[in-house]
Amino acid sequence: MHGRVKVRTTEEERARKEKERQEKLKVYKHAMQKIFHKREEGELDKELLELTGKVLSSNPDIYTLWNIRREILIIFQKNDDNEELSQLYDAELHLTEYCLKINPKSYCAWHQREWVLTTRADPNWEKELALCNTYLKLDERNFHTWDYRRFVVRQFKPSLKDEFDYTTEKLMDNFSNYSAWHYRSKLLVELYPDLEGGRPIEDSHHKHELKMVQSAAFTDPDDTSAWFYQRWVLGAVRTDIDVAVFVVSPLKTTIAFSRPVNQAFVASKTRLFFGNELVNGEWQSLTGPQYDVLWVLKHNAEITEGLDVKMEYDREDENIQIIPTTKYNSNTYIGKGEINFEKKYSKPVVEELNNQLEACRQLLAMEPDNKWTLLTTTVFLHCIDAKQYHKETIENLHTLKSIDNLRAGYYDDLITKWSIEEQLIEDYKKDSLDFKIMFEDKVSSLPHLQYYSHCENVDLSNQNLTSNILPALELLQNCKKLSLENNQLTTLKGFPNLNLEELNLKGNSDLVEEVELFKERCNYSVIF
Amino acid sequence: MILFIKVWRAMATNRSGAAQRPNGAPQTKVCQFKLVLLGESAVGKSSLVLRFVKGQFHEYQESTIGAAFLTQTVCLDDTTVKFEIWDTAGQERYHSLAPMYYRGAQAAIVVYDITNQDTFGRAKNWVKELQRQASPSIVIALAGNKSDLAAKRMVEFEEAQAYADENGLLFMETSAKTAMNVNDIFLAIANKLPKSEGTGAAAAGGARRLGDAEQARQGSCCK
Amino acid sequence: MDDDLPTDFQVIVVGTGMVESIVAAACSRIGKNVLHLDSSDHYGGLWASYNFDGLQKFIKEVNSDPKRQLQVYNLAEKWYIEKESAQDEKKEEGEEKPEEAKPEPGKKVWSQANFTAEYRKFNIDMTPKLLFSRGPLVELLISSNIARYAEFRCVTRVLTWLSDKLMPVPCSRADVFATEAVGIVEKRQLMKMLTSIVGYNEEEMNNEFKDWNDKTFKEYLAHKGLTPNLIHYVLYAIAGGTDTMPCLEGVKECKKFLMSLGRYGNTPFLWPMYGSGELPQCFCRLCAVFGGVYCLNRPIDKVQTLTVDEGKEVVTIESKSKTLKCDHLVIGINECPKDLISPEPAESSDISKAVFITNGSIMKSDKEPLTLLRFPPLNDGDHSVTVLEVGPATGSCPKGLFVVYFITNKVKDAESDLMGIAEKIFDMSGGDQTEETDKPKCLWSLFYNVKDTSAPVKSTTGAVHVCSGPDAGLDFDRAVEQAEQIFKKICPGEEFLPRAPDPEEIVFEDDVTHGPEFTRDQDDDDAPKE
Repeated sequence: MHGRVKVRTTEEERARKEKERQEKLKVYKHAMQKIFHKREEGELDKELLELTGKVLSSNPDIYTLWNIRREILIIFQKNDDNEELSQLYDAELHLTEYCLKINPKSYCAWHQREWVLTTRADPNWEKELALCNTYLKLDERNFHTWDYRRFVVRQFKPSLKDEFDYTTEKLMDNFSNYSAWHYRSKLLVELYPDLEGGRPIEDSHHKHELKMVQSAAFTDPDDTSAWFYQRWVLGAVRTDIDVAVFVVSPLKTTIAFSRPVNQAFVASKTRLFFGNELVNGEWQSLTGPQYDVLWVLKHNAEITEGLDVKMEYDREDENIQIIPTTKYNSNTYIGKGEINFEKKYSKPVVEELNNQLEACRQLLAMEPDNKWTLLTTTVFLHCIDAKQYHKETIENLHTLKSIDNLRAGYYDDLITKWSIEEQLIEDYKKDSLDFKIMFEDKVSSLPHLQYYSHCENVDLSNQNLTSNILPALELLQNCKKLSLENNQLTTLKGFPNLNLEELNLKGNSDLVEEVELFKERCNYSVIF
Repeated sequence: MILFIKVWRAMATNRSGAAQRPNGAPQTKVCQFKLVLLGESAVGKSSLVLRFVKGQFHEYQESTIGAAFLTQTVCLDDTTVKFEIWDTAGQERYHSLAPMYYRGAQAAIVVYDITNQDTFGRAKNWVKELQRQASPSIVIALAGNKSDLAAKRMVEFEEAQAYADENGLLFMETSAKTAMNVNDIFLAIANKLPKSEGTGAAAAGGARRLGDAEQARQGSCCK
Repeated sequence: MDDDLPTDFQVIVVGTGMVESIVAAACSRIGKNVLHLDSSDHYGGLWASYNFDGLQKFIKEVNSDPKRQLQVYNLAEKWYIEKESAQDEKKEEGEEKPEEAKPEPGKKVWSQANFTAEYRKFNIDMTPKLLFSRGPLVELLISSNIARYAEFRCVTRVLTWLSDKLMPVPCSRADVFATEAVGIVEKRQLMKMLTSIVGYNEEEMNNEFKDWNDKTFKEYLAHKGLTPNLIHYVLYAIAGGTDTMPCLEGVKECKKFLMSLGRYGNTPFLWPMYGSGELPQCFCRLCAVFGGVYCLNRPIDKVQTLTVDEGKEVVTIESKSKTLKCDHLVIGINECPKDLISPEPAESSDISKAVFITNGSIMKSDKEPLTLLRFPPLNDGDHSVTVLEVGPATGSCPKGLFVVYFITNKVKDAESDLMGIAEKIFDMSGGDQTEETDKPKCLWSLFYNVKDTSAPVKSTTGAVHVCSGPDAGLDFDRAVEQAEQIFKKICPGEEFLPRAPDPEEIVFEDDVTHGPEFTRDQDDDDAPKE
């Protein structure tokens, strides 16, 4: 029809696109050839900047090209023309900005930008922060942008309060945002520490965060980011490092801490006395890493009857704790520290937790099978008073195992951990060198095992232990009789070097082939 | 009137890509503007657009059916200006142009025919209408078209120039047929438009166009 | 002047209301030869938006023409401010300038003279409506590419009237998270209810609610254990219902609301910039772009249908001593000669409407709000009232003012039906405008009733298609649906508004793959040019 527009048919359109693609490919190949040729020839000049820039602006992820650009810029740095250099840096920022528009998750483009800003003499951090705002507006969950924001903030040092409010704003838009919650947690402890009580977060803020995250969790229980933050907020309590137990024997002393510490910590915070004599020597970690829960001091001490062996420990509250020892057999002295797994919340926070527990219980009455509500209830119970609610928490975890079978392993671990904590308090009251799992649930992991590092007689029979736990047994440095009877060991690979007298491996049928070889290598009796 | 115009052939855009700067970094500042054409029937509005956008001229040009608007990009020193050029689609013929036509327009070319005094009067009415109804910051250009027919001239250059000066309009006599001043008038408008980042049709203070392209998050309250 | 108007068309459309304009666009789009007329000098008919001057003319016209009062009646306009204010005189000298230069001079005192002076900054809708972000009109605008002609703003909040005050309704996931108005347990309940409603497909919905056929939505919500607060939010604000709303209808309305969340903003709704009256114009433009001929100010005098050979009908229209001919006449109900309507449409309940201009929002907020408030019935048996508040950012009024629309089904007359609610949210007492009050001052009001002509109407002949007038509903869905039905009758088997091409897709004669390059003139370098 006359005067009527023609529109390309899909066929024509496809052909046109294909032709365009082919042309682009040709141009690309040609450019890449030229780039590498120039580089080989050492022609690191503006032309090469232009060539790489053109290619990068449609393919931002070719990191080699970014490297070439940095090489070129470094050459220009040696010139004295500051204005020119500044312009080149501006152009570089311009290019990265363009590339990030195409691919906001391009590692190399973000990295290049970071490089320019830390390299140039006149960075404009304010502009960078504004750029972060823009990009987070487009995609509030892009962790590259959040990472970059933290980098900018470290340099620019804007008001942390503003940054904190920014996370609030972003979370109000969409709280499914790990990066925002994470950043918030970092800001929170910097902005609002509890200076008086020495807690990580000041009470009113701690309560506010608990409320906020509870609100998120109840609005959308399927959103895991809120749960993670809730765990973090609940865990934001003062947890001092304590000495769990130490054992002095003629050749060595072992010391177990509640949490991993490094050598400097052990060396500076602990002082071991035999009588009035300070024992010198180098503490060594058993397992090798920088941080460990168990440290060993080799010495050659004469352990005599009636020797006064004690440990001085500089606690984190700046008091000095003196831990006396008890003599067990002819040549072993054992000292036990204080043991406490309770979360040390302030009173107002406990009140808030109780309120939230109440809300959870109401909800649970309405939907008893809701795993999220049940889990939250359980966590609250444990946080508020682990001892009082122990039975209920374990029952809840059993229910959870059945309604949320996919995460049964997770619930099992919680049962084990909380039950061991419960048992430990009782065990530590006794002067016994025996350790035996006293609760019904079978364990598949061995949390807090360092607390039993003094035991000579360790009975881990009839559990669900697999060979994965074998390396952890190294913590049992003073063990003589170890039973792993009736577990699910499949190999003995990773079994640590222990000074045992007897090892019971009965009822682990998969070990048949290995056990003979193992027997040959060790100098203690192996029962199978 | 002095215009500083630099249009780099090398910088002219192709259809898909952004314009390139000489150092390889692409031109990122792109401003999009809505430009409307107004004027009596048959003064050559569509011809001007076609000359500018396609470089074509047809003696008996009818407004192109099915083209709601055409686009053309102009590269200035530091900015790429993308014009969205709206033609009247003939609605002015029986005085039935809808006000929505010039809503949100950042620029307008009011066209008259230099061989027809009536069309100049009508053009003045359009200018008045725009000054009253359109956005206060609209850039208006007056175009005396058909300057190739100077022999039949009925509207004096000086008269129109004086009127334009009085009303703060850009003014040129143009010829879609010979292409005289056609590119120039669009360029003059491009230069006069405010080009702060984020200006242009799409970003007029929170108002939005609908489309599939935007980050339409699937789902809703419940994700 | 109009004498060169061609006379033979395939389709003639009379009236530029929403339905007529969509049909005109659809016919033109697939190549029909269309003439589109309107008897008045503007687009939209009863769907139009007026500036303040146009509105005054409209009021005058209606009040002086008994024939028009068949459509619109009970018009009651009232001012609450002085004719001229002391401020005006001072302003005369400096004019324009002070507006931006002055540092917030407190609240402006408006006079009637100000309204007259700034009349062009008003766009007041006769039929204010919202678009659901995933509703049929938005989908149609996008699929047809007409969306390129218009701009929209997102409704920023949904309010309700609860415990004798205005309350924001938490409707999105982000709202539920942020609100402090509902407790933690309620949050979970609300989200659970909303999530389950969104999740139902047609079949599941019928299954789940098969025992709820004769029960109300309210009963269902109560049965599900929702607290009274939550029932209020879901029933009145989200479903837009009343106590008697049937269960399944409530569920469907909720689902519609929820499905439109999160596409463009934090609420499900869009408002057209410059008012709803823009939308018919957009469709008209598409019609014109595809060759449709437009002629406003063209009343018709007489319509006749002739049966020519083989039963084919031809419609002739007398207009300004010209005879126009077409195969199909599409005509707005208010323009349509009575003898073409069959049978006379049944009496239906009419619509009560009101427009208010105020000096502030009904509920303060940081950024300029755009509000939907669904006011629950104040007394048993009352209807709920839809309230829309739009501000300067929508192009509806000058800075400092808001335009508020009330819409409900008529019981007595517009003023009696709506005044009670107006008094709850506005200060209707006139008086000192600078006074700080919790309610905004009403500066001007207009109450009116509109005959409900929204029911589909059959014509006496297959060649004439009658378009309904505006309904009292919140959205344009019924208009879109009717337009499509009419189009299908005129052009059976043809696609309804296929996508119009983008400029980039258009191929010109002797065009090659690449567009022309925009080149500079031969001689100039960077030299300034005169």
